[in-house]
Amino acid sequence: MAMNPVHDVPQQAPSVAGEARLLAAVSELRDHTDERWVEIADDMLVNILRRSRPSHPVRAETPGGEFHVSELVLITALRHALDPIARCEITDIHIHSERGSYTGITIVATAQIPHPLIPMADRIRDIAQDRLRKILGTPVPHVTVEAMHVHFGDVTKDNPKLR
Amino acid sequence: MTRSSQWRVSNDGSSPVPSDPETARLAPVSERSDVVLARRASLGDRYAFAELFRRHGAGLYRHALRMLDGDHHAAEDAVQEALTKAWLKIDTFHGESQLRTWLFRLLINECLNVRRRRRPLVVDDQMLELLTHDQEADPHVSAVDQHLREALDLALSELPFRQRAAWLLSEIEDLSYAEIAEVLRTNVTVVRGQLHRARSTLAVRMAQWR
Repeated sequence: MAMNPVHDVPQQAPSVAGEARLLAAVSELRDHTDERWVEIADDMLVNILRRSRPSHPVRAETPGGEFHVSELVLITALRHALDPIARCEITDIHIHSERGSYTGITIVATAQIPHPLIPMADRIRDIAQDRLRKILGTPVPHVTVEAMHVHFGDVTKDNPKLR
Repeated sequence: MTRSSQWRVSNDGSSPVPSDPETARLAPVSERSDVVLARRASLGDRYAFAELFRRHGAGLYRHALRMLDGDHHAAEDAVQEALTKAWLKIDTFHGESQLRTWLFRLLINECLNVRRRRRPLVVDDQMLELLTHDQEADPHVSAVDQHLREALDLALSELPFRQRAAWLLSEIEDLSYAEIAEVLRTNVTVVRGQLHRARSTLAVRMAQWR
């Protein structure tokens, strides 16, 4: 007779022994790391990080001519430039562009209080402006609140993680 | 040091992925929350993503392996696809749900894609027989544990896809009913029903294990 255990089984009452074995098997499975995962994890991570995200091009101008820079390259360069600022962590960067030309930027940060926020915002703007000018050339709009918006999305107090 | 060894994954938790040398002032990546790491990864911080990979990769692989009937190659492909999508689209993760829930949702979609592409599994005799275990031949506890796990894997392979996914996410990965509902794109009532049926079936099948 044909048997389909998937449909037959629920009609039976689960026994105490079955539930105990199931619990033991769950515990065993939770603690278990598949050997195959240990073998493949490093290579898989390298393969994943090799992939580039699609990103909008931003026009850059130098005396030698015009070229385009990926928005993601700009964001990564800005992150590296801004990360060393003390008592602050950059959490988001949005590049604004119109017809491929840079028009402005929004930088979101978490800051540690009671450290004054306005000087910190000015420092973020100055560093970002400097880095953008180095990458995109001279047409980068001047530092204004409209063109380079710094937003403190969160503040934290006595957070040892934000030194 | 090669780039490959820089991203080395530690599964025992003893040597966490190092911080980006340029952000050494900030807390080590291993001390940061998933949400903070996801934000950093969206800014192109590969070290942050490597830490997320270290935290969740093994669990995702364990889940994929059981959802794909123990097929290591298929599980590897599904996890790699899911995590590649996570890396490429992490800027679309805004923290409305747990990052783990988001990753499992990506993985379930990949597992469904794999299952759609492959031929139906032929049920063999082993699945129709009582689960057996010869204790005389395996006197060591570790061997018993291994057989117990294999028995569970076999019993799991008999469950329908959604029941199996719900049970694994609840019992092994500790997701809440609401999180499971989000991963499986259903509601909590349905999840509760699927879990009840899965638990009953598995308990009966495990009772047959000798």
